[in-house]
Amino acid sequence: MNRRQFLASAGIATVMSALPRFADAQTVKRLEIFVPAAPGGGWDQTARVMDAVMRDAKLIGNSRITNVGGAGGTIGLPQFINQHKGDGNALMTGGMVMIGAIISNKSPVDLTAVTPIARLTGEYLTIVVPAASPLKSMTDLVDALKKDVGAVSWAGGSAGGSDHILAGLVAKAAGVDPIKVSYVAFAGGGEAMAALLGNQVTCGVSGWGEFSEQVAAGNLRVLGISAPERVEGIDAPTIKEQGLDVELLNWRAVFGGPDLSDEQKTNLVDLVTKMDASEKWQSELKTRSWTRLFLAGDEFAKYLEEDTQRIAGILKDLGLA
Amino acid sequence: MDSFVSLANGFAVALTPVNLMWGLIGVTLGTFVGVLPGLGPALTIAMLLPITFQVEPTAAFILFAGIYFGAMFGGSTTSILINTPGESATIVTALEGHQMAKRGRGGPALATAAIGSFVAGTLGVVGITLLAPIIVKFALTFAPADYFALMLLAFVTVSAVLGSSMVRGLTALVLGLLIGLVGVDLQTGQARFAFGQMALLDGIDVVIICVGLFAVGETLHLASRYRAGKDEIIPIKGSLWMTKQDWARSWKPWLRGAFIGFPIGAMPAGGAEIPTFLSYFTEKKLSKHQEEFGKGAIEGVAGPEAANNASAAGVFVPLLTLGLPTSATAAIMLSAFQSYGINPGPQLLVSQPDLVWGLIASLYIGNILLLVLNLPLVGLWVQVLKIPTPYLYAGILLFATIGTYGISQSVFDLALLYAIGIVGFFMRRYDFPTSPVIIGMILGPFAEQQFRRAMTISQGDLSVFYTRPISATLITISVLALVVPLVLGLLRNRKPASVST
Amino acid sequence: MSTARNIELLAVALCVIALGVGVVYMTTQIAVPPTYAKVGPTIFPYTVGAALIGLGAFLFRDAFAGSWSCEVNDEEAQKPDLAPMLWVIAGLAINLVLIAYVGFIIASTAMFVLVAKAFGSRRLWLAAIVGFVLALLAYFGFARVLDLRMGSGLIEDLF
Repeated sequence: MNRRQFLASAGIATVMSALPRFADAQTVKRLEIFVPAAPGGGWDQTARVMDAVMRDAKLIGNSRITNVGGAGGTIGLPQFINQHKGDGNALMTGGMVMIGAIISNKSPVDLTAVTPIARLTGEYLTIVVPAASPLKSMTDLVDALKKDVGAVSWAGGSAGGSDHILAGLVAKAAGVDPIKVSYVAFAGGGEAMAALLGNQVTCGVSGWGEFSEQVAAGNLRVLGISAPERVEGIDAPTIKEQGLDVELLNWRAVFGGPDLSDEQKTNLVDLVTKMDASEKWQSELKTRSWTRLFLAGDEFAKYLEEDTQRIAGILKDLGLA
Repeated sequence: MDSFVSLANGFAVALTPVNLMWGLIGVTLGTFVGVLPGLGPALTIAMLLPITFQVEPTAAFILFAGIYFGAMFGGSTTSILINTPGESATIVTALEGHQMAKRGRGGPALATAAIGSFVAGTLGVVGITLLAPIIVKFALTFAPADYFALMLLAFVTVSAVLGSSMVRGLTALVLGLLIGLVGVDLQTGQARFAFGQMALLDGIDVVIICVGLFAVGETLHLASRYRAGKDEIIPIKGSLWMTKQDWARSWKPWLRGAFIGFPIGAMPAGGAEIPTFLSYFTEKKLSKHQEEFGKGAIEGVAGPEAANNASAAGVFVPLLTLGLPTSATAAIMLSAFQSYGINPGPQLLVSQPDLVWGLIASLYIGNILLLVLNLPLVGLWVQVLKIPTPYLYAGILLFATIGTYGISQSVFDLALLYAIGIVGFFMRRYDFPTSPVIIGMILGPFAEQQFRRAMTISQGDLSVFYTRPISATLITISVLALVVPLVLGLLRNRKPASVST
Repeated sequence: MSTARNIELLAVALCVIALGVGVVYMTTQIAVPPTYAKVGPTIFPYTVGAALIGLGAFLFRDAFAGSWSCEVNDEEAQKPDLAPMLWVIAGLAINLVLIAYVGFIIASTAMFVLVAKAFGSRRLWLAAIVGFVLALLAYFGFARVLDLRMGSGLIEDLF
């Protein structure tokens, strides 16, 4: 390194280290929240509620939400990576679904490019059957699968999505080939639920929130929930306690741009931690029945790495990767 | 009778001045976004979701319902006047509506659309009030095999828009099927015809094809001919209002459209497009003025517009009774419910009667507001045709650009829009009809997915299509609808032939 | 009927056949995962490809037999007027090129002027004003009322 280069880089370093300190004092003046999905869905709502809560708590001055939707987040992701390199004032919402989409869409960039900030909420998936179904427990379902895999039809979201992944995990744990699972993919808009209510399929997979009202009304019956242990407020046995070692969490999280300095990263983690602790966020979680699963910084980064490997494995078992 | 008492309570909730104001804002905003190509009610409501942080639920839903109905209506205005459908559900309206406008009958076309929307929308809301539980039960009995049969019936309707040559019409249809295949396959997660482009993985938005083929294609085509003085639009000829004959020819299509639209709208995979296709086909077959179809038959505007609005009402049936969203807009409204901590489901009517009946009452009010807003505006809208040609077409392209770029900020989408416009120009030049492209694009993926779902559930047994009563009935109707006119045509052709020999 | 015009139609028919062949070829490239699905992702694409080839053959016959009547062989219709079309295409192209750099408002104003020119507008300065005002109003409708971002640009960033 010659003298001039040294001076220049030293100068940049001074400026760089000065900036986050300034930002810290003012919290974040202007926050960009990038949503890699169209307005209205889960990631978008996470962004909008975060925005409202952070403004309310005066954690941020000004903010702007940008939606770039499509292909399970894999259209937005490269844009976020390009536009917010080293930008300590930008967050992107996202979730578990993105991991699957990145693998099956053969996306050129993945989540290792961005900076994991925190996991915020999540939803466990449930397996349900129509009320008239003869299946009463996971054991019954496993027996049916063992008898004839193809005869058990599963309704859920698009192939390779979280619902499909759970079906694959259950089949694998039951000792049948995941590739042979009769998975019937439905587009959004309640089509899968209609197929269940109309008794057109054997069972269905989706988040608990989607099924709760129908279960309460006695139209559907829960066989199991993909949580590690029973969840407060949800009257459903876990899949695990019924002898199948299956767990799956459809989490939502926020990420920072690529190449953040340690200070920028700490700053964003602090911001989100403060937001998570605020009363307004807690009350929003309650009205929306979102399960709080806060996990910040390096712990989340580690979790992300493990989950990515697990999902890549099951997608391979399903013949999709 | 219980329904009526509850409905009266609902009106008491909805008829406060504040809620009326929200309703009025809703239908006005809805009409506005409906007029803009590409900008639909789902997106508008999604952008307005944060309003749920500020206003009480009833007011928010009255606003959203107003936007929904307003947009359904607004889309027809541009279809009729400038042959630029703002939504896929108003493509069929453009077929006859724009021909009427070209012949100076834009006023009656807009009027029959407005009144038809009102009549069908109101009938639809009556349907929600009285028949919701029955309709929902019926809709749930539809299995994938039955939906596939319904798609077959819808495909038959293509014959009504094939134009002068069957080969060219079918080529346009297959082109639409091909466009519909682009993107990730839902059942297996494999990309098809995406050329490695991430932007194509979700498929091509029907609005891009619609606006490209109609608005951009039409502009290019007119540019190539306007100096020859062809295709001149006559602003207004005769009365702005419907004549006695117009009324006589409109009222039956309104009712038929409502009866086709409402149940299909209530089905979990029904949608607003299919009923408009079916209605157009029905009107064309039943009309005493068949020769006018393609040249501005008022039945072809009245029926599909009514079907469109009735299906919009139908969507509320599964939403309110089961918490099932059956359209993009309904899905967004569902998330609005959730942000109030309300879970729409079988218990909604019991747990939130004020909200549900207030919403239903506001649908009645919304329909009336729309009529009051739009009938007097017919005269104003028709003035659009008096805008000097250069500004009119430059403006159409400007709005087509907003509709695409404004939502995705994707230069790729914009390039696609313009490229499709150039394809649209050539299709006009070689006399390929453009509507079958859209029909193919909408029905193709539906039919394919339902077929494959049915086959996965039955484990490859084709008999599901003829052993299920609904499916067997629908397939029989489709075959009859195709074969009977052919046979009749053959018989008719035979007679003069035998005379001449 | 001139032979040159018939060649144009024959070319269209050949294009449709070529498209069909392309579809069939691309379908062979679609991976079929070894899954449960009884009907795979390639059956419908093959059908579409085959249909295009078949319809293309019929079109070829129509073009050859002269039974394909359209603008091209309509004696009364003038040849397409190329100059205005090129102006419109230039307008679209300039919008595509500029929009990412200078923003929606300026790019679309430029398109507005060129398209107005195509349709015979003489007072281009007036078209520029009308287009600019329209684009500005549209931008505000989107950006302010609906809170949708329409990208950034020279004028957009002023607000």
